[in-house]
Amino acid sequence: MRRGFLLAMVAAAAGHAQDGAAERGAQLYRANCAIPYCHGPEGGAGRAPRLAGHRLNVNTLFKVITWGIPGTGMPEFTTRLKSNEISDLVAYVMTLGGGGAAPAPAQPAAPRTLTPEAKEGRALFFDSARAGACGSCHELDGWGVPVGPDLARLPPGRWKDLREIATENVVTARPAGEAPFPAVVVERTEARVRVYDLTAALPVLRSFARGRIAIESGTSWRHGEATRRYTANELEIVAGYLRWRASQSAEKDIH
Amino acid sequence: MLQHPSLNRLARLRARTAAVVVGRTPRSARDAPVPPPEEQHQNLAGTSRPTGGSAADRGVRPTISADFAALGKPSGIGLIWLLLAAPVLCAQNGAAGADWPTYGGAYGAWRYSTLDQVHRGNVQKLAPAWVFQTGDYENGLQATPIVVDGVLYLSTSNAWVFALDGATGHMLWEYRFPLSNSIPLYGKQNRGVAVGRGLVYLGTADNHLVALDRRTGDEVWRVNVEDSRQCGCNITGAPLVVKDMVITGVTGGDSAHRGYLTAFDAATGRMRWRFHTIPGPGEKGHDTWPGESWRYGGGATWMTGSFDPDLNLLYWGVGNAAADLNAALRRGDNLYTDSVIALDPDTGKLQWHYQEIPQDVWDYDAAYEMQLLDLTVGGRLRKALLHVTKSGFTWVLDRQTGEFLTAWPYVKNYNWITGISPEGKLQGRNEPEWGKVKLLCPSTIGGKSWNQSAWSPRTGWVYIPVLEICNYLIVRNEDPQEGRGFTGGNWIMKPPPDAKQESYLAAFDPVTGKRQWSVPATTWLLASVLATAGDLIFTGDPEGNFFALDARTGKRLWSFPTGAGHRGSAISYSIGGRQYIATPTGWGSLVGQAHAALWPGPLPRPGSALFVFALPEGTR
Repeated sequence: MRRGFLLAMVAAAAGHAQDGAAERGAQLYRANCAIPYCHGPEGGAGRAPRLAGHRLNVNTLFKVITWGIPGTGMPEFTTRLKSNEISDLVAYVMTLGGGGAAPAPAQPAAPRTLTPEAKEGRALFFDSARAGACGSCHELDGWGVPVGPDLARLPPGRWKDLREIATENVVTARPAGEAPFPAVVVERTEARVRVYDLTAALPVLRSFARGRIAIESGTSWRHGEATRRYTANELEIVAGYLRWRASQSAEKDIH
Repeated sequence: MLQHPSLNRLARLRARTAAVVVGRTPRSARDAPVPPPEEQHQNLAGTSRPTGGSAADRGVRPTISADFAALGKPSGIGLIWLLLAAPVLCAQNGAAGADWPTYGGAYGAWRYSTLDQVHRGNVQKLAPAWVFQTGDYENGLQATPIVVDGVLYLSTSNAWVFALDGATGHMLWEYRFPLSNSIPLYGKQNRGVAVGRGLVYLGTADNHLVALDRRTGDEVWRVNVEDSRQCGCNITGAPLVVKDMVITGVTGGDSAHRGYLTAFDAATGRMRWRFHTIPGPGEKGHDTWPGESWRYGGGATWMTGSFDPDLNLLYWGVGNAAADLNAALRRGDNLYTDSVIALDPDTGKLQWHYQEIPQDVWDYDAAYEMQLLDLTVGGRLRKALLHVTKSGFTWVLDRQTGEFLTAWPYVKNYNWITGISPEGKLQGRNEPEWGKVKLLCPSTIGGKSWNQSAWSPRTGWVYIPVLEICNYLIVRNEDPQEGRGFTGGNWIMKPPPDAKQESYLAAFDPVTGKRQWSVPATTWLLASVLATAGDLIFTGDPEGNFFALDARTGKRLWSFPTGAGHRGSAISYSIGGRQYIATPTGWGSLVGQAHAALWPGPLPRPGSALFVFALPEGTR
């Protein structure tokens, strides 16, 4: 029954394509689909999937618009639009397929199948309840701020006590007229020096005119200052996650 | 000292400005310039700290701090300035003067200018002085321009910042932040910068806070407030400079996110404090959130707060609880969502809170502007806080204690409650229900969108761009996924039951809520309101008209077709004795996208231009 109904509508849409269906569909789209947080004008943005620039299947479109997707934000339109209106809407959305403006927001890398222990460690690593969590200085699998080194590339044997871990890239910055601070150098050109200032819970990328700052190797800063927001037990769980993650990288490299 | 071509230009500009203004006595106390935020604070707190040279060597117009200094070594001009200006500052801490130094015009956020050169008698002669095209057409121009020492700072959706000579529109510098591709569902929106401590502060759509050198536009520091890919949150509001800190909120209230407000050292960017709008384990109020719901409960701080230097209280409006429409996972009051919070800005500690809507299920953010006024309520003069919110009600609180004073509906169509008791309790809650489609008013867009209202001390009225729109709310069960959308349902915009869908600008008594006049819009009003001492009310419409109304009667006195829809915030400032009215133009924003769903006719035109108007030279 339903299949026959859908096929009839697909046929209707094909017939309408020549007589302004897409134009009428555009009006319906603006009224029903471009509302805040949904598909956005011209199918470009919102919380709902992006429509522009995707290859869309006309049958799937009919089905989804007509019946919605249970358990998601996509409502059914069978009680809201007439069947010829749904046809027009499909005709318009099909025209979005080849277009496309801004690239879609990057999603986190497909989450690997985490072991329960690794999952717990990752949750602590990115714990948003503490400003200055590991993720505020390290990026891993699509989340976090890449101030420190790429942890996915480090050998599993590296992850012992996270408080004692060596941080060779941290130096001492001495800006004119200001107390020295622990820093990671990002850029040194003729004109300017850019460093991450590690003083506070969140790293600050600061820019100085070349002559206004001196960089000295070595620092009294220790990774233990960054990890003080965690208990020793929590740090062990995080380290377990990092060991597991590093072993995943190693496996991938072998293949 | 860095050398930059724009520096000389700026110095010349300042010298010219100073020469003109110092040589003349202000016509009235209302004409007195209001200093930039950091100086305001110093004056009111009675302390003085140099902020990069004296006022004299900075060549700025006389500020109050300069005049306090002048008091030590007797000076006629200084004394006159002090006498004229000091009472004005005390009584009118929400008003802007020659500058427009902060988002709401001043810390009290009245969006009221004391300038009165343009008034009801001559506004018909108002003409464009200059126009600036930003070139960033994404999501229009939603900012409030900031003016300090005659330089106008403007920001766009893609996090571009421009410094312009306020008198000529000549560009002094521009800055473009390298925005990432990971923009959360709140999109690229930017409502303005903050200026203070010699820097310009910008929040970005990928959740960075950036500080630029005010003279050169060179980046001084930037901090990633939280990875937007993780939190699904970003910064769309203007930061606020308070003392030696810059404070910013974040969006995220419709995502599985726990809101917060963060203060950074203005000079170095180092984080000073973070206040979570949802108490964590062990904190007071945590028990208003069952289970893990506190981690994903919303409470975004996406608009800009207000500050009372005398009370040393920072006020911020907190957004809705998440999931927006479904409280199944969060039975409880859900503190401090839909609340006004008052913090000690030095520590970030909560001093008081007032929750307007416990357990919100209508998406009625209480994140909008808070006007700080002194009002007579029940025969007593109160230090009040006026809060026009999304729910269609205006709350009036005692800003010293957080005590509820009164609340009144500014929309005609509301059915989410039947009313509010004299004690501030919501009566007759009408909640969306799972398995039903309910028509509820006002809509999730709000009885007003985020565009700001204005208050005029001359009429004593608050001017609100009202929306009479309702919506079907459909509740859905949803599991939170950190940083992903978490609305718990859908909304479909609909006209009110038995009434027409409409929008209008209306003047209200701030205590009784009595409507004084209202002027209908062709479609709807999504631009902020500006009130001036010339008894004028300015705003713009989606059809592209920028217009002036008589503040006392609502009579339309002047209109100018700018050619693009209005979604920004107009301001007024003065340079060399000439008053300017500036308005951003260019349609955009999430709510703006709903235009076609609501109104027939052509779509509002996109664009991104700042129009600046003044009276032709010699006009009286």
